[in-house]
Amino acid sequence: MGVYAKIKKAGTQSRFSTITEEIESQIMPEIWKFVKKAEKNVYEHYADRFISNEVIDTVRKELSFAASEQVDLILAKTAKLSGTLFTAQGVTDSKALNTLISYVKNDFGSDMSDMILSVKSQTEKALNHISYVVNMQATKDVGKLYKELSQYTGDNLKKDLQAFQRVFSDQYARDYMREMTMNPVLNSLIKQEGNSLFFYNKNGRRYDIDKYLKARGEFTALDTMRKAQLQVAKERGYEVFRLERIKNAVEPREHSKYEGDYFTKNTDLVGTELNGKIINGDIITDFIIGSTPPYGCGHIYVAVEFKNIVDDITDKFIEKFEKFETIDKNNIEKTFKNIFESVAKYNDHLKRRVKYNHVKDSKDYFDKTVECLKNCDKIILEEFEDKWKKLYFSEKDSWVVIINEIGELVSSYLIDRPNLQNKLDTNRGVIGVKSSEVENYERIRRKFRLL
Amino acid sequence: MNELEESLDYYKYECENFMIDNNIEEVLITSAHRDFIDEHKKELSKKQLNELIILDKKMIGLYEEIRDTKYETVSAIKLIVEKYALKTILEYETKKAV
Repeated sequence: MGVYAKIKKAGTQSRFSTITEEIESQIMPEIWKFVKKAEKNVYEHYADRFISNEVIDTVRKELSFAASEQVDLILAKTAKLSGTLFTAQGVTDSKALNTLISYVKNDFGSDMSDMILSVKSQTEKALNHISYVVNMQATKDVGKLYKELSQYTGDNLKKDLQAFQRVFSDQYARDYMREMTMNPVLNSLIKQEGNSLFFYNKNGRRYDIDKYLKARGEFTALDTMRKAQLQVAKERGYEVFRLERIKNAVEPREHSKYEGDYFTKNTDLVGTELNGKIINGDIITDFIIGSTPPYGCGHIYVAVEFKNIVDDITDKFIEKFEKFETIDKNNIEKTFKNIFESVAKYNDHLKRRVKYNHVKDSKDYFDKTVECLKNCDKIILEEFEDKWKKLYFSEKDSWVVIINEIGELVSSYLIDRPNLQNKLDTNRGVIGVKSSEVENYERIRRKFRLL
Repeated sequence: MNELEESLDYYKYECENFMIDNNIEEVLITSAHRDFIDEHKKELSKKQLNELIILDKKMIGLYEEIRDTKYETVSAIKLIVEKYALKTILEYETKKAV
């Protein structure tokens, strides 16, 4: 299974693992390839007794070329991978996708490129240092040899020569080592610290490359998921988020107690129930919705589809309406009845509308119903005792279309006499039908315009 | 057909074609028509008034038949009966008695 499919199918936690693995398997090897190349150069030339400026220049050119190649590759791979990660997580808006890709490329890709440039610079410094120490040492060696030779009396040539060699080599080794360890890369090499010669110098602090890459990869995986969730929420109009832990934190956060709870910035939804929990406002002060969380935090806000009854009824109706087997727009006469509560009711309603010249036939009835849904200027949610909830779509001075909770067409009729409309409204109230006008119904109208 | 005639006709249609499992909205439309008739009762001809009395009696009979069922239309029929039909018949019977 490809990474796209894996991410698309995965739950939040396994998605984090998949993304982390992808970053580790696609980007990190490119960094290690360069680090190993640089290490090889340091090891090879440390063993040399003499490094000329020409050799250093050649190595520098090779490293620059390799670094430039790897940086280009890393940036390109980061862009490609982040494109896959975001689209697999549901981001579809191309403008937003480009912005997100560029963000990851500039943030993570550039950081990785900086690391390569840092390793390159440290390698060059180490090689320079080897050259300096070896050449200086050679000069010192000649000076010492001359001094010793000038004081030589020749009494016991063999014995003195052995003593001279021992003293000279010990002193040479000490001086050589001391000088070499002045360079951090060579110091690591000589003292055999960790697995790598290089530590990534960032903001004046030294990091173990291996640990740093792992932590940075995980942060990017989290960051990618956080940003994808926000974008998906924006595109789909989701306003509710669930706080989830997807990575263990170094230390527990105060906001950990909210794991699994729902949050929203929409004050109208605060206090509403979702999956047996009450939706909170945006109350986590150190990690408000859309912000960057504190360092090391392993939480993300997962965008959650919160369907209120209006969206729910609308979506169910549209689903029925768009199913070919339910309603065939080329055969309205025989199929329009399929989206009514019952065929008997459909027949009764059609008979009434035709009788009072509100429609000519079933096709006209269908057209007027759809027209009303597309052009409605008022949506009312009506509730009757514990028996039902229905949505009334009305077009001013024209049609009313009523849809029940399971998305069936209850009725579609015309009240062409204003005096009847008022009476109808009054009588609804008398028998106990409760009405509330749906606010911000533009998104519902948008859905119907596509019918 | 003027508005009053149309409303009377609608009421007649409901009395003759009532579906117990219909939607409450359909019967509520009828109740609005019945309200309109009530408001313009004085404009009814004798023939129309007699027809209304017959329809109201039918509606009362219908309500008696269905009142103990769980259908939502019962509420709308009850409203027509209690708010308009019974009142009209009472007035009619009173006038007749006088």
